[in-house]
Amino acid sequence: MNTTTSSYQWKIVDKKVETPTVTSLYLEPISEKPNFIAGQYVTIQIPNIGPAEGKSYSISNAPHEAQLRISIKKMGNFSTAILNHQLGDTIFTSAPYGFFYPEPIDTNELVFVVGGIGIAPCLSIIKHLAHTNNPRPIKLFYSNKTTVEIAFKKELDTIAQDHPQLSLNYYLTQEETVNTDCITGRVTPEQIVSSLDNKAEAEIFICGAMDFTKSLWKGLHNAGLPQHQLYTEGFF
Amino acid sequence: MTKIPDINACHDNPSWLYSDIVKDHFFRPRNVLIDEENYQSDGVGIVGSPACGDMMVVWIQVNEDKTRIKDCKWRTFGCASAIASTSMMSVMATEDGGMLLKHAKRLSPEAIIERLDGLPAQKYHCSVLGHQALREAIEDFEAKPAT
Repeated sequence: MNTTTSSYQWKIVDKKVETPTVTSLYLEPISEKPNFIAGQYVTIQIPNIGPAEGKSYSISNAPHEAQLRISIKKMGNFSTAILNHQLGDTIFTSAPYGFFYPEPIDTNELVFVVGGIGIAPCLSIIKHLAHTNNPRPIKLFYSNKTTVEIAFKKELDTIAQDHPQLSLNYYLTQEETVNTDCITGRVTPEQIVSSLDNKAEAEIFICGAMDFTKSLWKGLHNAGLPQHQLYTEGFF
Repeated sequence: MTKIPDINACHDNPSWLYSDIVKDHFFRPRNVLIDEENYQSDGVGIVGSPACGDMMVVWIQVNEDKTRIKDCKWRTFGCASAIASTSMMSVMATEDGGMLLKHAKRLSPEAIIERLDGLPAQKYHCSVLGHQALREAIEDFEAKPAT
């Protein structure tokens, strides 16, 4: 059963600025570390701030890592309140939850279509598959406005160096490309479809802001991909 | 004089207005289960909590070879959008001989919203509850020992 009552206490042991708007918190469990599936999120509750049920943030690292990493985009009172916490402070979360993850037994091509901080759960999955030496082919289409806003680029590039089955495609929507590994413009359904090894079997995970998710889902569906090959996690 | 918005054209209007299909499923929700005591389900999913404002329960029955959803019932403490979304989800899960469980696990809010001819952007999150509860119900079924 999914409830949002806080069940876990964490100590903030590190804070890392990823981009001008995204900061990662590294959390150490005060009691036990819950198991989670790469791609899941936790719901953070802060007394007297924001909705009583809290807000959900995807875990951006993999289950085998000792700490839990939550990567937060500063965009309102609630996220600001979380990021105002200092090293050593305690925060409260729900148990990890969510279904935005591939089935472990599947071997078909896996495609992530990501806008901005939507990278968090996808990175968790990519790191987990790389750690377990899963040979599943993976393509990432990752859209940001500008180069400085690409969170975790170094981490992704490093994984891809050691795992050739991971193909990275960076898109910049508001910057002329200055660096050869980024593409200028928006990622389109046509680009994604034309890259697929087998259109009838590929599994596509779309994650980002609601408009991004909705538009790419519709575009890919209109391009002939059935709904069961498209899965989404919209941030709202 | 202020122009009154055309409520029938709401699918073109990014506003709070609901489509005719949303209104139909809200006023005539399909597959609601009131008396679960007399319903033999194969899996149950519960998400949310009344304290958070929304709560959703989904019950499923699966077919004999355990690959498809045979029946999908639900009940919610939720808003008009949650009711319409879950009603549509229950229709999608059971039409054409029932959805494969594998496909039902990938039923997304976007697919439900498309069948509803849109939902106000502010109500997107209401469509999430139903598919999460459906997924929970499938997990519940799959966790049970095979009989």
